[in-house]
Amino acid sequence: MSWKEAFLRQALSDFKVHEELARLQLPSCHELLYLQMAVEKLGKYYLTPNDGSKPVPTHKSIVNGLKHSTSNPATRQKMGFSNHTIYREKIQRICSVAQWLEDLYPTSDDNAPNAKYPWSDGTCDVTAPCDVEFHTQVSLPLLKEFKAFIKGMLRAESTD
Amino acid sequence: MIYSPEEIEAQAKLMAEEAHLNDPDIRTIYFFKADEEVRLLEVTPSVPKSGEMDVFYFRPAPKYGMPAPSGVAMVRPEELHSLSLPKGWGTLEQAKTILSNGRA
Repeated sequence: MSWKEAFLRQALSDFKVHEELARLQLPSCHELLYLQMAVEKLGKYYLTPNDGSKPVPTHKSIVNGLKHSTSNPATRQKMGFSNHTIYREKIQRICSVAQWLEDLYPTSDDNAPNAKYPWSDGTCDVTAPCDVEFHTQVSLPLLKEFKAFIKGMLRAESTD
Repeated sequence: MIYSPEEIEAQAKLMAEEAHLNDPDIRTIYFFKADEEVRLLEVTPSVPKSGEMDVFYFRPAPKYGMPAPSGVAMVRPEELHSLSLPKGWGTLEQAKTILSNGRA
């Protein structure tokens, strides 16, 4: 298996875990973390050269991955979009969710909210991700639209 | 795998047309000739400023007119001349412009 195929397989598996976690009504940081991981690996799948070499390490691949996919007629058609305007508008809409997800990656900054590690607001007060309702920070219909689109991309890339 | 120049260029034009239909703000698309894959650089204000030129790679999809693998980089107009092109792609002067000011 190549690096490219392996990233796609792991993205599919992470997305499955995300869907399972979403059913369990656990704190939303857990399902969000797996959604981030799935989308990050899908981005890395696109960043991996076709010659078998490894991708450049980066977390900032979600928004760019979505934008770059607009050059690929195969992805669009496999996802069932025949209308360019609808496809373009959909990507524009869901990019705001992609940006939100990217901004929630854990960083070396201890004060930055994220879905994985506790953070401080700069005082003595520390927040645990499991106490934050992340899913209320974006519009639910938009989040659903984003997830459906990512699932469609994963499916499209898995088929010839 | 090696593809004919005609196959590569036909796929480059198809992808450029697709990109333009999905992003009418694209100003220029450069095509870098290679035997083994299609290489496009899209100049558009609709991508975030990145500080580096990432290439996103697509597998071949012959059923959809894409027999060759492809690599697509996108850059904001103001970053075009300040960022390094992907390794092995050559220079902007060597590239062919297949879309300029929104026209093929």
